[in-house]
Amino acid sequence: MNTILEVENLKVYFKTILGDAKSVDGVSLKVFEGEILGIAGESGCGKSTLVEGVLKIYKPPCYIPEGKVYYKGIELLSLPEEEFRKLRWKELSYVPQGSMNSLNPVIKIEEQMVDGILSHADMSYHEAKELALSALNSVGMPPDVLDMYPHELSGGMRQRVCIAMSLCLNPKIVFADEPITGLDVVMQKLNLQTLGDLRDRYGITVVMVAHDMACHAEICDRICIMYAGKILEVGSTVDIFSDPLHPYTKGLLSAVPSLEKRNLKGIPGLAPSPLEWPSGCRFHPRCSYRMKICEEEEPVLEEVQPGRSVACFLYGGK
Amino acid sequence: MDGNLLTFQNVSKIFRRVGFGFLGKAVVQALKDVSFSLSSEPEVLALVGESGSGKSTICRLILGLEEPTSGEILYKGKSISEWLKNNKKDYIREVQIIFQDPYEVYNPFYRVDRVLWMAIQKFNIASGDEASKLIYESLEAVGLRPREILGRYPHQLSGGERQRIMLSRIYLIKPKLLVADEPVSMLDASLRAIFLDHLRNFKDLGISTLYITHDLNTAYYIADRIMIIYSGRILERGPTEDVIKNPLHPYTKMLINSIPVPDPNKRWQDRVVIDVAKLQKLSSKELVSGCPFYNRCQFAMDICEKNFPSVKRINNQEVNCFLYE
Repeated sequence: MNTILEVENLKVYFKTILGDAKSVDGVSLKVFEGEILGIAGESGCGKSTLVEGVLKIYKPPCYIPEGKVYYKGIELLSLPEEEFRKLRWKELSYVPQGSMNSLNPVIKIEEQMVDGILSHADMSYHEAKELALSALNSVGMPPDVLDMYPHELSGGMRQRVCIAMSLCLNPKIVFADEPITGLDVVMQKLNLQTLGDLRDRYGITVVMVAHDMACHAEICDRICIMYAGKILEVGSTVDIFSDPLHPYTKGLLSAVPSLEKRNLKGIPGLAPSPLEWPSGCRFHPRCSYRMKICEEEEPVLEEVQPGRSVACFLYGGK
Repeated sequence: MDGNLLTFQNVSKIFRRVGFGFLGKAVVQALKDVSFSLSSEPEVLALVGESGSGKSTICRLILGLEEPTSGEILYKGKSISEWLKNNKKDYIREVQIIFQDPYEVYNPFYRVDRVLWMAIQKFNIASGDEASKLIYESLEAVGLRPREILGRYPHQLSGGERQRIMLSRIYLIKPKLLVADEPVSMLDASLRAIFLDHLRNFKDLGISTLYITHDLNTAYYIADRIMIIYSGRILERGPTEDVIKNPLHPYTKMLINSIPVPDPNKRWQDRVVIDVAKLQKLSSKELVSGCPFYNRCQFAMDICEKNFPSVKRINNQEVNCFLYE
């Protein structure tokens, strides 16, 4: 498998009056060509900030003190903004969180889509409209949608328009941030399947950020589990679900409600604050396998089986 | 007195907007002929439906924030408007709510203790030392450490903690009926389970819960009975286990089929096909006399368009669908 995107020790901080909020604090990760990678974790673990950092679409007070992102051998973060802008959308596109509310309510879909295409590509209005049409078609939307205003569509359909917009210029990677939250279950299924199609039919690499583990189980090939700004575990979806290694992953999975089991277990304790992460392993205050070393040293994300990495002293981690 | 705690009798609610200018007249049928009851034995009844199905309207009707257009809502055999006129204080003590958003129910200028003290004062629950003992007890009952909670401001607490303070408030007041309107949809998965466990334990305190949600998974986890509502109509109801394992109505089947299973070996085998043209017809909120699910139903028959089926009882379940006539 070819690595299409590589993130190296990326840190994304927010400046606050109480000091830096270290939302993403040293994440290294590889995305392979043609895969669907899921990034899972609870609110505040830094999963959305990670994507914003990779695409450099953050705004102050957010900044990147350290880290590198390689895409096809190019280091993205040191690229001048003008150069990066050419890559965005064309190569790396993005479906923002709550994208159903990101459309302009007083402009027709056609104009919004064409406008986006023209600002990134040099072509005529007519060609751009053709592209928009084919993008809508690839997410299973009829052409009449172009002539509608956003309020005429349901939330799920608006979200699919946003997915279509991200496809217009044939990107290599689509980053989808919480693509299905706030939708009804039937629409959720439809949109997840649409994302799955991007890879299956068009060979696009998809990075999906979502807090719902069940969604990851449906379409992802690999999953990264994030907690407190760090990646705790990476592995194939089947491995993660059948044999979770990190105690946090175990806890997260036993807290997923499902129609097949009627016992749920939560993880006691509270998520820590990004202003002051716990010392040592960031999960140790909530971990039931806590050892002495966990409070003092931070475990390193280490490959324990082929394609499977975990940051925990139970599995080495030094 | 029929012995029920709460009874909805053919309740309909129509919202009308008087039209002028470009805001044309609009009529929205939020509820149509809704009947159900909660027995006087404590139970958890889940009301499951998607956004716009009328779940929140039911919640507002119970709280007396809206009046039904037709039909009657009885609480302990007396209509709610009567309760509010004559025994308002008793009614609001016995019927309490937990809202969806744990961020907006607090006044940011006051410490969180206030929501508990106010409850004690308003309902004369206790006084002096006994009151603070009660507050400690109720916070501990929902798994919070009083010392870490009391004296803090809402912004210093996480969403999960704030929502659990709301639970401890319920524990303090011990109402007869609790309406929980999507209480866990803004909580993280790891906290959700803990919260639901506490809510379920409230049954032992004699509290009945109407659990309103869009999430069948959590409903399955917590409820004794489930009602499926769609577009203002209740389509199916019955004991949780039966409805989930053996859904009758095509809509319930579709819902259950669409829930992602947290197991990568059991991925969806079928695909959703949605006819956009039909959906648009559906979204124009006219008053439909037939089955509201007609436009999306794969088993739709001619009769479904104009008529709404009556309740059919099959084993323990009740379903409104012509497939079973």
